[in-house]
Amino acid sequence: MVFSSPVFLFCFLPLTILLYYFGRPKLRNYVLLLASLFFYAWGEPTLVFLMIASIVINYVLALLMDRSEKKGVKTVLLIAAVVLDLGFLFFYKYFNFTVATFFRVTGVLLTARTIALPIGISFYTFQIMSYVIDVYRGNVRSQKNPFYLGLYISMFPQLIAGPIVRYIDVEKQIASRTLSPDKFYEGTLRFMKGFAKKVLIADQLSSFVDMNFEGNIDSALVKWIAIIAYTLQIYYDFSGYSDMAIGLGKIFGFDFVENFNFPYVSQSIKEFWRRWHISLSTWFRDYVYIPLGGSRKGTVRTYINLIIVFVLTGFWHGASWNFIFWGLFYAVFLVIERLGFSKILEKLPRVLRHIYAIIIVVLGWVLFRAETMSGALNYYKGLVSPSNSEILNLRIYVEPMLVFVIIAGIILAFPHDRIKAALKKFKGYEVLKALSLFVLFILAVCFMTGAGFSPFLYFRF
Amino acid sequence: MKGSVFKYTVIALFLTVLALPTVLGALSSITGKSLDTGLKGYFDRHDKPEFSGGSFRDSSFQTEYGDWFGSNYKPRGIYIKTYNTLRFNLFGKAHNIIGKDDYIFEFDYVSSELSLEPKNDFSLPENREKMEDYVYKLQRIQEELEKKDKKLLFYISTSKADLYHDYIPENYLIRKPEGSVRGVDYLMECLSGTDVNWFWTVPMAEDLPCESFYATGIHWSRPFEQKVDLEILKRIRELTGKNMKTWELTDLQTSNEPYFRDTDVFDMMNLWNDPFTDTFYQYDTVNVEPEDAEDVKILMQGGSFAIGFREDLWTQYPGYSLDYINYCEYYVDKDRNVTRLGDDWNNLPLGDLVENADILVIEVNEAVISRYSNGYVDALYEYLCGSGEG
Repeated sequence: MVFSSPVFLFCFLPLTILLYYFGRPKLRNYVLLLASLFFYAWGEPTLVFLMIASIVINYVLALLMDRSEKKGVKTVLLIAAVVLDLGFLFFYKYFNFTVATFFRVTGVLLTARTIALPIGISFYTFQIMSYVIDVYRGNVRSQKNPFYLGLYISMFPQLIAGPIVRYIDVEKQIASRTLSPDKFYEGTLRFMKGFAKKVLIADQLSSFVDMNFEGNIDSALVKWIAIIAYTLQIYYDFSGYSDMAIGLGKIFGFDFVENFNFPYVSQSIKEFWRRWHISLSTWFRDYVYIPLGGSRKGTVRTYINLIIVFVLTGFWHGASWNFIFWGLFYAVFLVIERLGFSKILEKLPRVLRHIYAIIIVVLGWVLFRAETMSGALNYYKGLVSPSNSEILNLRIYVEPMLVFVIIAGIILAFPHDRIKAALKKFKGYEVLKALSLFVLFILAVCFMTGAGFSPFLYFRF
Repeated sequence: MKGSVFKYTVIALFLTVLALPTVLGALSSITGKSLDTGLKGYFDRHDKPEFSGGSFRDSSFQTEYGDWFGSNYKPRGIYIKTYNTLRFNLFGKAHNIIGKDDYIFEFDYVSSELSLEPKNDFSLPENREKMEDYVYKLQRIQEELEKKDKKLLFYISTSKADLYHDYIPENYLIRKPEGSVRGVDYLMECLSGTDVNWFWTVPMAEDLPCESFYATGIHWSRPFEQKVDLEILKRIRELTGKNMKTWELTDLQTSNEPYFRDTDVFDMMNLWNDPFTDTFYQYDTVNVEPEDAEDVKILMQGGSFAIGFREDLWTQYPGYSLDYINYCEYYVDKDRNVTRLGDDWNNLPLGDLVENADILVIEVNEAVISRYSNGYVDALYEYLCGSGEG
């Protein structure tokens, strides 16, 4: 079930809010847990049991870890938990890729059944791993109530697309949280904002981007516009989803971590990764980069650690070589910046620093969006191979609505702090903001509904 | 306090939007009223699925429920019309192609006019070969029919994209392949070298009191259609030599309400806007029934343009002996009984229909020339000439 679907918006969500607020307060966590399991089972009716199994196993292992006083036992239990969690993730997400790669390298064809990828497995695996690692480290006590742990892992607002919530951040909130009209109001605005971002911007760009990546258009200019469109699409899609998740969290009384902070204003790649998918990059920082030694073990080791982390970050996004190269691509620029380029950057005017960062990011998205490495390379080739009919192609493919959405997307990708500060001085700012978001939400509902409606003149027999 | 009231109002508005489909659905069930705006055009219908453990496990319940709910919740019609209206008025976008002066086209018409798809480019040898075979079969069918004292009339109905070529949006016009040949041009070239009784409807578009196609319709305007109908009748009379009943066009009526299909594609766009064309036209008619009038049994095959003739004939003379075959989709007899053909000519009693008819009329629209009458000509050829020839 996706947030921008009628079943979620008009059936699941109102019913869940109703049961949550009008049921007994003591049962709220159970209502939310059941709703979340149902939400997941709607898309993964069988694999919901895999998630439940993962919760139960980690619950038991963390409990044992917490009770054990011997460091060695704790370590064994942690290793068992991590191996199991990564084992599940490997089997469901990376097994097909491994078999295919093995065939490519050795020519030996292993007959293996194609394994379907469970929705959100990367997100919930990372959440559950952060829990057991934090219990091992003694940062948190193990959760005694398995249903509460289940709620932490399966909570539907952030289950399938993040943010990756740490147990340590919501431990107290699960046990006790305050519900208030202010928080509900805040959550409502945030949800409406995210919904509008997803439907009114990201979804409006998708068909143009798809058409270009399917390789049907022979035009360098159009390809550049398409990759800019994709840069916006992925941001508004992902950050829109995070906004919706954070908003829904607030409606149910939770405060989740922020996941995006205007990443496209970045002036270096280092800054970009501090602003993009924050919950993932901090996860890798705390559970991979720092345990590997971070930047404490010398320059070379730091670079190696960076490369490891970013290759893993790429691989986390998908079982394909282009994701690995996407991660590596960023690692290379991060290393270059650390090698001294950042000092050169600092001397450059702000606008040039920004142009540098955005060009790298935009080019990086080609690797991310292309289905294969050869597809990505062909796309790069297309970007520098103008055809004889560039203007003609622009006229054919770049429609006014697309231009409008791209321009709106670019403008809204910046924080506009000064304008906001000026507007906030006006008395009616809060009202204007809320009403604007409500109108955008209604428009997004219209667009979600209308996009799938295409009647025909006569019956199809 | 003021702030709290405002926040409660926003929350209430948000929850109202979420709950609206449930509330309106329940009210609609109780009152029996639609409580939504209707949508025009045909679209896929989905039944509410029955829940079962098996259907949930294999996800078919979820898919079917999503489809059913997604096409039935209220006020879906209002949302859709708002979406369409905004896209159309702000960006000139719709499911159809919006041309100059808001002339609306369906893609198939533009594709055939500009040979945008290979099947519609008759400079390609494989398409030319198919067309030559098609016309050859028409010629042979006519010869065999004449042996049975029956006639064949073939006509090409005009496409809006042809008569309003300049109204097609530029981003489509510039996609026309260089050196391409339209189906209608090659079809007429082939027909000109035969004795097949055929005509093209374009000349009837001259001296019309209004546009031959309105911006809002994909079918021709009523005056154009009415003139074509009379031309068909005239030719049937000439070919069969029978003094059949007919009608005359008299006074020209005007209306702000569309006649018949004057706004069909506009309606399908489901906008809040009024139709762009303010005035629609239609001739009044008066029946002409000679004392020695003879009925001509007509077997007609074609698409929606042929339906115009069928409807006019049955309006003027209800129950007139005309059997109509729509592409290879369905067949309607004079009593309006419908038989589905399901794209299979074996489902049609073709022999009986041919033997019962005095004249076979085949209509082909410029947009569907590359369908070669959906195999109807092949089926007739098979029946009349046998499979041994060719």
